[in-house]
Amino acid sequence: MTISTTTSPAPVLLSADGIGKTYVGEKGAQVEAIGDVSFTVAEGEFVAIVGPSGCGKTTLLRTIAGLLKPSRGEIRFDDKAVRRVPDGFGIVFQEYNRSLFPWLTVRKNVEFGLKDLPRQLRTERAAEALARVHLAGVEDQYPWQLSGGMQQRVAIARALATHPRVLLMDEPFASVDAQTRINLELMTAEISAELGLTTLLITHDIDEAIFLADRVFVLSARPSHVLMEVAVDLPRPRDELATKADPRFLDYRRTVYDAIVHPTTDTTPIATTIPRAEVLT
Amino acid sequence: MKAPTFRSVTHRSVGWIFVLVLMGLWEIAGRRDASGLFPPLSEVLTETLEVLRSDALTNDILPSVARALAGFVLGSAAGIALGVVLGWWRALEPWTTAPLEFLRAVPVPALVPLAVALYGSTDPMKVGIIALGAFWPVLLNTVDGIRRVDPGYIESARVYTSGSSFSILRRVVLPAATPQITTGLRIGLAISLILMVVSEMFGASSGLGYLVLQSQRLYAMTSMYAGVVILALVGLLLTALFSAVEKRAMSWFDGMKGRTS
Repeated sequence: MTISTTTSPAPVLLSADGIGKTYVGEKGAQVEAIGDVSFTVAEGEFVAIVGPSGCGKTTLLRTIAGLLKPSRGEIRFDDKAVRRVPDGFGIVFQEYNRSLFPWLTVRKNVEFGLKDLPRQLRTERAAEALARVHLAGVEDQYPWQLSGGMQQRVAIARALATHPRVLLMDEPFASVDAQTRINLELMTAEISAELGLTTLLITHDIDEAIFLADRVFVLSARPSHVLMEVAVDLPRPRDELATKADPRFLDYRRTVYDAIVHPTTDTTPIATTIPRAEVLT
Repeated sequence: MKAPTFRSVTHRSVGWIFVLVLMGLWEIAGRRDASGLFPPLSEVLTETLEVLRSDALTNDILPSVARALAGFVLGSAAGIALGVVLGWWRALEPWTTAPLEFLRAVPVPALVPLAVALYGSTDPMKVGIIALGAFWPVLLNTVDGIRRVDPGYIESARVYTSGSSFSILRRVVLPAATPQITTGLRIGLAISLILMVVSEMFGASSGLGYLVLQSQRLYAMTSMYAGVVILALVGLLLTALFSAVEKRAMSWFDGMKGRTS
């Protein structure tokens, strides 16, 4: 088994300490979305959180981001408690069409978070960010004129333009087709590596989590808690074919898959028939 | 470019041909009418040109249009301002819903006699009545438009605007609500024109509404129709102007709709 609980040598930049989130559901019932989640992300580290659909992943991301207040516990970023979205967070949401502003051109969308900078610096930052996501020549178009994959690149560029210290991604590639998804994964790996960017990815896709991350946290079904932490010891740069054929990759995959399908520490029933390595509802 | 086919030409012109047919019917009916209540179109149009060339243009028509526009601008500005406050600060909703439902149910024309009694048939009274008429549709559409802004936009705004509520409102919520605010403005403009006429029918001594009413009293049916034609022309002109501005400001929305529908 390759489960490990080693702490990383770099200083911790972002941490969750006993996070829980209970909200009042539609019929007035208390819904416990997040049970008890703790983790740390070190400076420059790529961490993925993987869990079955409906396990409160999006709620967790919004809580980590400072968009939702946790009911219990605390999020700390740079040794300060997170109470609202801190400066230094770049966030990419799953639904790019509800996240990019349709009344602004691509350029204006990417410059959106740079209002306080002088105009020339804004232009430079936007151009640099668009180059990083391999988008050129669409600056004056509107997001809705682009394909889904290109729109998500714009959303990533908008985050990168602010020179974030942490990049948070919530199922960023769940709404694009398979080929585009692979391209975006490779691009994300490349960007994180080049910039040494601390990245936290939330996904339901086990392969994606292992392929991209240095460490993977596996969540249980609702109310979610961390079932397992996996340190992914695979060489970088990772390759779509070679990495995914590596026996260690397959080991990690089996470990995570088993943890989700047969959670030993969790009593909540989970669907047992799961297609491929993806956990779907 | 494809050459226009016979079909596409007829498709576009069929509406205009129908208008011409109706105008012809009016002319014939008018010539056969002995009551004097339905003058033929040709006479009405001649009279219209005459009115437009007379001092009625500066004495009645332009002041009327100026009042309509002043009322529309004031009422819309107030409607947008209050609409933003009520739409954005949801805590106000329980206090405001019932009074708004009640107040908007009062037809503004019914308030004209009261307004005349209070302020006389003055310009401020007329502008005030027009403003009140434009205010409601703009207010209600602004409130609704702001409340319906996709929460996804607001979350993105909270991430990238350092969280200041005012800045989120100005940079994201208002632009996102613009399509619906514009719908309110469009209705407000139509109501402004109606109230322009109504407000000039009570104790007024000038204006387009006065012109129509006075002609009827003097049994000058042709002049009365000329007044109606001029009102229609004014309405057409202002609506076209509004559409031109709207088209420029809202190209993103039309483009996006075209994509998804």
